[in-house]
Amino acid sequence: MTNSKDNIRKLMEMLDNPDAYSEQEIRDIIGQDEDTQETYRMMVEIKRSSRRSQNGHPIDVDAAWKRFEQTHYQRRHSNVWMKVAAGFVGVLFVSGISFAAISAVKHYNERKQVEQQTGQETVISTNTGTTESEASDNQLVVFTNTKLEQILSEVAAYYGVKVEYKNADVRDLRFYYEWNRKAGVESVTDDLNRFAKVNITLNNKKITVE
Amino acid sequence: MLDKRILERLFRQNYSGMIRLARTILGNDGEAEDVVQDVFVRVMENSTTEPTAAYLYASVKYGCINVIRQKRVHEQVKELLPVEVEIDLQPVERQTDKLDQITAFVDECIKDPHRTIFHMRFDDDLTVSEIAKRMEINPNTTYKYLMQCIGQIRHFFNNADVKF
Repeated sequence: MTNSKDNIRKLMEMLDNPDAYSEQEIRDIIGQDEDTQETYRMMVEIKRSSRRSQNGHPIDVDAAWKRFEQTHYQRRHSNVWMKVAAGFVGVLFVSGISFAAISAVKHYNERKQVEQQTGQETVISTNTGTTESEASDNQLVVFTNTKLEQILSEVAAYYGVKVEYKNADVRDLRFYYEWNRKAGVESVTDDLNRFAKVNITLNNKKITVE
Repeated sequence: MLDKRILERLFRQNYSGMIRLARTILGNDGEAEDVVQDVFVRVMENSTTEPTAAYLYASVKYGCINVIRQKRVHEQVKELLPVEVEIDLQPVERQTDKLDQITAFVDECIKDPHRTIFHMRFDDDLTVSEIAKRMEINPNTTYKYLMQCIGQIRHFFNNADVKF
């Protein structure tokens, strides 16, 4: 039986040339014993402290805000006008049913007001982690360290859609995700698609994971 | 959707700190910027009231964890990122305090040649054989010195009986 000192030496040798090892070998070396695991954790923190102390150069917040504004507000603004324009054209063509549409919108707004009155400050924490979220949205569900499979099963049940996995490997990927139930199933699939390795489509009330 | 003026104020007040945190965790400027921008996009789209700074920083931390989880093990170890990512529930401030304490401990308590070797490994990302060549010492001695440095830091923080 090798001692902890030898195991830590193996860890350091592996870190100098990880490409010479398989994924399993790397995991085995790091997980050999508690001491080696703790040494790797400490090396991660030491590396972070090194990055932090080398990370002092000034950050151009003004330029970052302009980039953000350009990317997210201007696009959103043009989308809103497109929607308004489309809605206006729609009203011209379907004026015969406009009364019904107005009634439906009114009904939706009334329902939304009731939901807002009753559903304030609902934060639901799921799975293993205690959430640090101090979110103030209605109906916000925070998944902490949660498998994609579980996230999707809850999302699908809530919106009444089905889930099909064409790629089973992604079921076990774990994520931190803040689900705003008000946002709609399309918004959830858009959000999840932002994660690399996740490719989700939504068609005919079915979420397909590829 | 959060009022644009509130979001801009939040962005200007917190962006630098959030980017520094993401760079510290990930070590990659592009990934760090993506994480922070994503946090503000979510706040813009989903918040109706102003979130606290603690919430923004915690969101950055979790965003970084998601990025790390999606990397291959080889990438994780090359960049000295956590392999089995556990959710650290300590407040972000306490975690960054610890990082500053590590830096202070190395500066004050670790003497040369150990300190030079330590900085070559963790600041300059040199391998043990590269360090040994530069320092003109035996690779075995280099390993020993590095392990001693890490052991001293662990001992300082854990107060454990760790000797190499």
